[in-house]
Amino acid sequence: MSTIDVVFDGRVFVPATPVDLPAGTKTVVVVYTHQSDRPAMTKAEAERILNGDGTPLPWTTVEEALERPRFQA
Amino acid sequence: MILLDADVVLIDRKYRSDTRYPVNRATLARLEADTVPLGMVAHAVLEVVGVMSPGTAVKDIPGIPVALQTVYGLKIIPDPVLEPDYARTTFDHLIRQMTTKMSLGDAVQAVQIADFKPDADLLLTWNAKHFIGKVVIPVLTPAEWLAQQVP
Repeated sequence: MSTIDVVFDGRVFVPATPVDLPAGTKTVVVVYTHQSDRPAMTKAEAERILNGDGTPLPWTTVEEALERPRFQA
Repeated sequence: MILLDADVVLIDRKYRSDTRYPVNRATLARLEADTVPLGMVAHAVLEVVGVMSPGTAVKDIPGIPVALQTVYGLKIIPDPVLEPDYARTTFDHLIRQMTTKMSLGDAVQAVQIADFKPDADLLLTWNAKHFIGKVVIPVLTPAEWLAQQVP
């Protein structure tokens, strides 16, 4: 199985890149919309979520949080 | 596209007293100003969710990935809608990756980059020394990347 990008022109799905298939080949198009450049969330809501609820994190450092050793940058 | 590691986002959001915060913030600001396409592999996004979860309301935790996309304008790779299975790799592939002396978490990130975004320009991580030579794309710290930019 392979995936190809297609663009819907209002009537048919047009491949965004050349497709190595004989004309007349029957296939299935699963309609999936690419990640939008502008996700369905306002920036204010996103900031609110990322700011959290004020509960302190239980790790002192980011390396401790990620369970990684710290290397000197 | 430049890929961000979890530590870059977490220092920006949750560890602002970290001595690297000013350079980290300046790097992210420069990336935004230059409209550099940004991404994070799904594993790194999940790491961020795991670290943020103790300080986030339960109802908001599922929204963290979209919030990251919204605030940082980044894409998640592979797209969790199109590729919902976590990691999409094999036991043997991870073992092979860990022969380069990587932790499991770092190995998952390296494998996701190799499998889904081998044409990315760069991985930005404060853990660069541990990734260099072990992932298929170049690796820099935010400080190193920022120093290379023309003022």
